Amino acid sequence: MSLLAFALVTTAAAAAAYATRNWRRAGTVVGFAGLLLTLLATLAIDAGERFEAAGGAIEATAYGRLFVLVGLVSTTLVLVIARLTAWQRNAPAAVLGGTVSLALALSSPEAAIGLLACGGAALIATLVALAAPLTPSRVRVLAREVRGAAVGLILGLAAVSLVPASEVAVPVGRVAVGLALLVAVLAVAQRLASIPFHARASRLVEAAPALGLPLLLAWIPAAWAVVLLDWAGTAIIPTIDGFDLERLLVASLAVATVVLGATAALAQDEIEKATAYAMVAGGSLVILAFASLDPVARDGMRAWLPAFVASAAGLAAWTIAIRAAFGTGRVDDLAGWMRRAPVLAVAFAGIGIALLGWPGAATWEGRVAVVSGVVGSPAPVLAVVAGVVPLLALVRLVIVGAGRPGPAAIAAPGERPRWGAAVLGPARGATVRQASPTESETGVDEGAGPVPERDPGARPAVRVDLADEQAGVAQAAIAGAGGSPDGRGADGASADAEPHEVDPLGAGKSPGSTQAAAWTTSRPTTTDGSTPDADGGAPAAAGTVHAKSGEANAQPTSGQAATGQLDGGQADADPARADPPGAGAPWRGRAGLTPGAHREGGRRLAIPRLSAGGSVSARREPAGDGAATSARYLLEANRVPIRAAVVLLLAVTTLLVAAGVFDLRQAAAEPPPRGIAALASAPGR
Amino acid sequence: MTPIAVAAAAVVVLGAVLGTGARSARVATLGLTMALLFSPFVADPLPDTLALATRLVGGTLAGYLLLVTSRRAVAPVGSPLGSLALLAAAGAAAVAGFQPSILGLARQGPEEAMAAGLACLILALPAVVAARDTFRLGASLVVALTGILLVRAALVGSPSGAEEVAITFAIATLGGAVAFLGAVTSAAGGTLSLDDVGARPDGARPAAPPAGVPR
Repeated sequence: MSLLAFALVTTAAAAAAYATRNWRRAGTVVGFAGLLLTLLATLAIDAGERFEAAGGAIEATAYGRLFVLVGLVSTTLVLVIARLTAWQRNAPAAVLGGTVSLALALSSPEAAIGLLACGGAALIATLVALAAPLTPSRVRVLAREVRGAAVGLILGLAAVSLVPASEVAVPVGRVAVGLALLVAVLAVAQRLASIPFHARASRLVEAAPALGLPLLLAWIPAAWAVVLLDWAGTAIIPTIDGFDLERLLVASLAVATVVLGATAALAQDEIEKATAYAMVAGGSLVILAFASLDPVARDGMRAWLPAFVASAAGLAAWTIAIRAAFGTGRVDDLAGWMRRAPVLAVAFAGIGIALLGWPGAATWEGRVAVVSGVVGSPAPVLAVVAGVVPLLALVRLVIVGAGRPGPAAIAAPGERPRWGAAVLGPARGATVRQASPTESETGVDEGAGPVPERDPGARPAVRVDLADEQAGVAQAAIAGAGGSPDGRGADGASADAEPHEVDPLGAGKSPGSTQAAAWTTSRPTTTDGSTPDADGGAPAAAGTVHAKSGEANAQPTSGQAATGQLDGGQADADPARADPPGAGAPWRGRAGLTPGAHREGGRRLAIPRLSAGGSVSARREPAGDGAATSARYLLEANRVPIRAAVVLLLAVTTLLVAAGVFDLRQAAAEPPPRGIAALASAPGR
Repeated sequence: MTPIAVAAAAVVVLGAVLGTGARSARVATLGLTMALLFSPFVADPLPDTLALATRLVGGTLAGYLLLVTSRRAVAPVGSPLGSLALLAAAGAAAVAGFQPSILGLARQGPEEAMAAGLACLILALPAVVAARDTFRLGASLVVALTGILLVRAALVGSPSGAEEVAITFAIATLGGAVAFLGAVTSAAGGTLSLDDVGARPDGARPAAPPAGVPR
């Protein structure tokens, strides 16, 4: 019953998280509570339990439980970090929705059922993860992902149908076995974004920075690999002798992936893409396992995969934390990042070490087993090479980080905790949020321009997120990143926004009609630590945002002129400056896409390019009084060290998984539920 | 070869031809629903009643979701080759499906399942590779999934009850994915074409801003 209880709890949690996603705080609480409950339900799964229904059976295994547990813990920690930057409201539902299907896939006694569940997991997680905010680029990525998941499922089903695992009873021709092997590898390669499907990695990390790498490029594809490796163990391995050509082709694909993936990772300018391609190169080991098809190699790969999943999550978390802390993700702009963020540096090193492994570690032994299985004799040197090459891009990031600090590193807030913020309030200590194109996914399109380079002496950036189109919630924040490391003297004020005609079509207006929304920001004018007026001091800028179908103009009515255009669901006023006297803060404005439709004269009109306006008003937070207010200020002021601590925790988790604790290797070596005996007993065979 | 399986296979192929070739999205949806509803019957022995009912419910649900998507179609869908050409291709694939396999595959299921499955795969292949219209893409994916499941039924035999449940889950999820994709594509581009996503629609040029607000 524990497996059934897990499925029920996780399904209910996914539904609740999805239902409450539009309420920012309630959605957060429900989402994380659901993840916590699912974690507990996963821990409660009784390995070996068998649940029979509909003429089939589901059998919980220790490996399946561990695989789900590692993925769930690491992805949850990524979501914690994402929540500390900008919330992606669909993220918990996407993780939970995928978890149910993955657990069932790994517990299924038949490869076809496992693949069908994996296909369902990929579709559900992709749809939910990319559903908000809906920008044109995300729609295109969504279409590609739906196509890719379905094609991967069809390829996998073709492979397991050509050579069913009951092959012992039903002899199959040699050509069919070779073809099945190649088709299975193609399915796994496509899911792992291996060469030549590598462009998928780049698109996904752009579209979904928080979930693209850990969930859609690592965890779910790893489950596909587990299912197909287990199938290959019973269907292919008994007849593997004489398949040199097929194995050579598969090995060639793996080598091409590791070499070209590592090269692509080195060539990337953005840390998200560099790490994603590094993981693509690392995933080549999975392909190599299909070339080996040695039972020892299969067990080694099963032990290696959870560490791969945890490492991918760790790298995704690291990129989010780095971009939030430094305001940029360009490798060239991150000179000296390790000096400014030593905790993140330690975490980064830990993730790299976990990926490479060490003698005795699960990742190391798994890689040696796979490579030796391909070569046919022990090949530790080749295994080291196969482990180091994907990490070259990470080495480059270390070299850049150890260099002389650049402007971004100098201007970045340090990782030292700011305890004084709880007393002083936001005027003196709060770093509410920092401007960054991917920090918030709200309205970010692939056309987003780079964050303006921050002058070390510059005032805090002002960011105005104008639309979260479906939730109807707009955010605005004034960052205090330019303050001193301890927060003293930093200008900062939170700015909450109320939605203002974020759904213009709801009012029955025709496309192209002008939507106008006023925005004003104000912030304290004092930087010396004194408490400003309760209303927040003089307004920094006030003006209007006029948005139409695809275009918006923003014009402050005080301060210097600033204009921005909303195009493709995004308004970017950079590098305009709205300079109230004495402030000098560059600002960026964004607005999200509000897709929709309305009826006009009885005819339904779909509106392709919609505007979104947001009424943004800043208010001065009252001075810190009371424990709740102090705690809030403390959290606001310490986002950077908290994020760093969570990344470190994730790195430690990755190291533990890589070391093979939690009986990983014993679990990996256990016979999978889809053994021949189970298949032979299945009805209809 | 049983009469039920032969008749069901014929309906499935006809439905797949309509689903991938009809210019009207609603006719295509009708064809897809036919293919989904009759494909479980291309089996020997037939699945048990509960498994069959599950597949029928899943097929109906997927058909409804495709119907939702078809309502958003403002331009003709379907293959540019036309239904007759598709019918000929499907017929050729079906004839090939009745022949002994050059791969030396032993068949545990009916030959008509292989014939219908290959026909579906041939029909779906061009659109799976090249479709830029979300309805056509979704229709081809549904037909391709139906086709590979029929091929599997021919090679491995009738699915177990648990596999029927998993198939139902996958088909319904794919239908939902297509419906969602159609909705967001239509909202972002005015049509179901991915090429129109993010493009400025005709006649939607923004009006001049209000007085005092520069462009």
